[in-house]
Amino acid sequence: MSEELLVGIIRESSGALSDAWAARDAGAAEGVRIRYLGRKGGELNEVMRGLKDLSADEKRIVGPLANSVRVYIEASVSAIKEDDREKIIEAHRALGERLRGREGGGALSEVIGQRENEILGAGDVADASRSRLDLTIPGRAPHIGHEHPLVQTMEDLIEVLTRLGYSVAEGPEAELDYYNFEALNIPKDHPARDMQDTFYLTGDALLRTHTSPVQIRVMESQAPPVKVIAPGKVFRCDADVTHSPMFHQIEGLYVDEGVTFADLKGTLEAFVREIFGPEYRVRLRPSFFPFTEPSVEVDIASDYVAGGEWMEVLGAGMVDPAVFEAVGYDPERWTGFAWGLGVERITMLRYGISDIRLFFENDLRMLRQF
Amino acid sequence: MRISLEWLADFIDLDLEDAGLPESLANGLLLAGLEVEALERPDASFDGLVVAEVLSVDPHPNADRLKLCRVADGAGERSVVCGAPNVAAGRRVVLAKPGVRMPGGMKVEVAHIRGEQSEGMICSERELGLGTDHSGIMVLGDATAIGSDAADLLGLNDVIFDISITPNRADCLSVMGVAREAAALLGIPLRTPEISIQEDESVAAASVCAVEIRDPDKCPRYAARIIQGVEIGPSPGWMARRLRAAGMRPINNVVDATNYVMLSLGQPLHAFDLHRLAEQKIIVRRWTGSDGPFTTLDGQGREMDDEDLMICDGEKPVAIGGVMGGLFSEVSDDTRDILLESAYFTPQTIRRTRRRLGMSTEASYRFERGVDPSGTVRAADLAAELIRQTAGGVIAKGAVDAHPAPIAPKQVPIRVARASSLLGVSLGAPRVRESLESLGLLVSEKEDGVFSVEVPTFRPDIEREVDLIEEVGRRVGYENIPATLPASESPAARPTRTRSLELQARRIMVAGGFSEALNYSFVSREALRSMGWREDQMVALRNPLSGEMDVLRTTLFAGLLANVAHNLSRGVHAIRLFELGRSFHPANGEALPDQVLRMAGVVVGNATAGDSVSLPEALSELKGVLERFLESSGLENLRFEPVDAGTGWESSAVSRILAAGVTLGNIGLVSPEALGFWDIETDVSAFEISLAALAEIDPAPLRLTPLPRYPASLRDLAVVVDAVRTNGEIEEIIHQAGGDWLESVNLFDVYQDAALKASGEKSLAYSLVFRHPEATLTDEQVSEAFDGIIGALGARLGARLRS
Repeated sequence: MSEELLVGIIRESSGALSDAWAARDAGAAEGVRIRYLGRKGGELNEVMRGLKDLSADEKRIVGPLANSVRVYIEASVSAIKEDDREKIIEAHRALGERLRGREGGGALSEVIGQRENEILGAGDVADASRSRLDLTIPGRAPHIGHEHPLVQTMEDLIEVLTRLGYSVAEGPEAELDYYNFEALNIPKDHPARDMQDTFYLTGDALLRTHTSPVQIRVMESQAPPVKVIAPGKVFRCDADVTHSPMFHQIEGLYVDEGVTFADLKGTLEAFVREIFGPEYRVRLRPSFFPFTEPSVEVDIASDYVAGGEWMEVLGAGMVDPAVFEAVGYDPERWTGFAWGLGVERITMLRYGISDIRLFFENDLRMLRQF
Repeated sequence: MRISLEWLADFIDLDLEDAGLPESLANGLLLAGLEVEALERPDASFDGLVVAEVLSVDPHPNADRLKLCRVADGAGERSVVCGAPNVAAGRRVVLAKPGVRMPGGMKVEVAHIRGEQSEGMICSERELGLGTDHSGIMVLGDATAIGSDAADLLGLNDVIFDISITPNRADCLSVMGVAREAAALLGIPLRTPEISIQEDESVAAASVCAVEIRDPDKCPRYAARIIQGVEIGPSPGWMARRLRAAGMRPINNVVDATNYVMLSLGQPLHAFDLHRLAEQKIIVRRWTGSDGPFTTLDGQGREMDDEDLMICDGEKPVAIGGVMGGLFSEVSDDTRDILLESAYFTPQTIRRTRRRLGMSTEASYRFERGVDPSGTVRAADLAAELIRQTAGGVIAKGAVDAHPAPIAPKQVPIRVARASSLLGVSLGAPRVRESLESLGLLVSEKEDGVFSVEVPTFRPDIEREVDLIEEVGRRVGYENIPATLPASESPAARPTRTRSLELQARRIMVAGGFSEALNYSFVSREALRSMGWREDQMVALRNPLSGEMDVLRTTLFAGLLANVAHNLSRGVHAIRLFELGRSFHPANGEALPDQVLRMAGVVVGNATAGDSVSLPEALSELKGVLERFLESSGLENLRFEPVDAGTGWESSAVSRILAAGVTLGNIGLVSPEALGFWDIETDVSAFEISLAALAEIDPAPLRLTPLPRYPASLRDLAVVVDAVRTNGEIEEIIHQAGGDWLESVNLFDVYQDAALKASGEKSLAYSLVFRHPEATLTDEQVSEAFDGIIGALGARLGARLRS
């Protein structure tokens, strides 16, 4: 019974207060106060006085709610008297919040929400001299961190390649000589070892110089067909503006029956255009890697970038039969291609970064830009 | 490899007048796999540079050191002022007429020098960009035609291709090798130079010297030529110029001739002073202990071992085979008789020795990639003849050619159909044949659709069918191969649990305000020591770049703390960083170290709370984000247990993170010792967890909990406990004692006022939510549970309600 009374009080008092605000009528506001909170016959006071007759359960529900309504009316009335827009809005918000938490309070909290909107709108009508909301003031941004730009590039590449059907594979950074070199057709006395200055841990263990050992580990662990990419860190003893002793590569490997050099060319073209943009041209030129034959370097160029100059971005080739033999695949039956690219280089091209060392200082003034 | 265009024209017909030739040739070579990295042209304009004769030399009336010269330039006579001491009547000189732009940019004009008109300039070598000599003007041979184009004569208009040669293309480490590729490209024949050698019929080389190969595995062939009575002196200008163009310094006519032949044909040669060779004998053998250290011609003492191949005379080593000659037997100014070595050493031998010695020479570079074993004698012949022509002397008849282990050309089959199917382009047999023949390979039909290819010994890189297919592909041109997409139906596999966790961790850390750092996997040993890591817990690099990065990281903190220091020193103080990466730990008995994927995070900021009992703001923020991640990964029963110490942690402020009984890592404050190492003067809160360990825990399956249909009952509980008690202990007891309907427990206040502090206590306040899924709980039911909690806390922890 007294709960219903309270609901009525909320509906009616809020309407009256909204009107009083619209008119900036302190007298009307005082009228509202007297009607509900007046010492004699104030309707809300009556409800509170009746609490003592309620059951404990009812008391616990009605008591705090009645108190909230009292606070609401008092605050609103004084806000109207003081012409304090924030205060009356706050009073509505507080009550709305309180009602929302209550069973069946949804509809009522909406009523209060409507009143709040009326009051917000009334400001302009009632007082045209009040200035418009200044929406040129910057918003308060939530505090959000930043992904490392290299990781962003790498994840973008992975995303594109995953759509092309490549699964992600991983391998150890500290790697055996066998996987990094021997199985990739780079025996101990091969001059190609000079192409990659290697960090050694022991005579047999080293920091991988490329992500290609993952190819071997994947092929050793599964039968063809294989379609994987291997992103990760690689290491070479070299440090200057364009060389870092640690950098990142993504390696791709596709092995199946009847895979051709033309497929390699088509895949690389599709990939380059997806990553860099459809306006890019792709050029393959012969090169040498011990684990592919034929081997190519891949250059790209766009009329809009670097005056149309060719830029080297990838190394690739058809998997060398010696590599298939090392993992026990029949090179007569299976063919495939592999490619690898440097993530730093692509990120540098993408964002106009000229010093590779910036990537590993982790200067927040840099990271925040990404 | 620096290749002169003019030198190339010795081997193939090139139209050197064609201004577009250098570019088109460079592009063609690039697309054939010889990467032309730079094209060097003269930065000068030599139109008007002619051969002139000095007619008369008179003193300059107004300057002691200058002379007035009258010169004939073929078209007429003119006056030129010259200051060189060696200008003299009758000499043929290089005259730059007005209008010539010299290397370096100076333009020659008609000038008045001390009142006398000078209509041109007589040039020194240095002025022409030919060398460093500026002591006088360049003097040409008396037979040089007056009025002829001096730039052509001196090769000043030459263009240099700087080509990066891949390790497989040993054959292209010479002008002839590059010419062979260019010939194939242009569809023109390669001219191999004919060598007409003038020998002294009366003396046979074999009667002067002997060659013995004791290790034919390492040295299958050794040819020697004898030239007697040479006179050591400077090389002729054309040879010196070509050497310089190739990037080599001219030394003397004998050494230069050997270098010239190496550059031209690719065969490294060595000239010995014949009289410095005991018994005038060459023995090719391995080093033995009794030989002792060896002094190379650069004056360095070298420690050798018994796998190293030495060139010895009758008594002792005189050269390290294929790497460098010895100081003692080197050609000197008074050398008269020469033994010229032209040998083939096996690549592995040379590579091993030169790597061990940590040196690389023009000779070793070629030998370790593979020179042509069939080319040794021809190279020796050419060098001998060049020496005779430039240094005089007579060539003894014949070469002493020790050839115990002949290397025959390989026969490699190629199937036309396989070439087509691997390249993905339909090729007919004629196309395959032409492609291979254009490169100097000998093709014969073996059976239908199969060729047998004889691979000349200058192409050691071609051993298998696939190598031939690559050659066919190169000749067809990769731009002429279509681009197709493979027909593959297999969808990509789902990411592994580890990778999913990594992605999830990154997402939540970034959303929580942390930026991602990437650091090197190696750090300094000292940094790890400052955190209390022991040497035996680290994996060291054998060949670090520097002491800053000499061990693999055992923790991600080393990098992150360095980043903190870097940012602080640049005035950035709001630092929240995290990193995902591997740490490395010695694994007993394993070849490879353990490599553990971890995540670490750091927050910089004061870690002293307003009172001593609540969690400092920075640590609270860090822990909040970590907890959000761990909960999102499906973990239940996350626990934080105090531990006393750990590597890099402040011992009073570190906890172990546990889930499902597995230790995931630690959270707390970084130790003062570690902070001190990086000169960080503020507190750093940090955590590090193992994602590898986390991935081992099966996540709780996600199932919807039905939304509550009955109201909850809320109770607040404020207790006072001994200050050493933890929230964890209290919450655990609340959960145990709270009964089935206790839905949630939330700590909302921790505090300690003066009175509590004095009594060694603190107060914690919780809001408890009780709910029954099937009914509205009665007050009595809730009170009973609530009282049970209070009782348990009192009994177990001596807690009392806050009054």
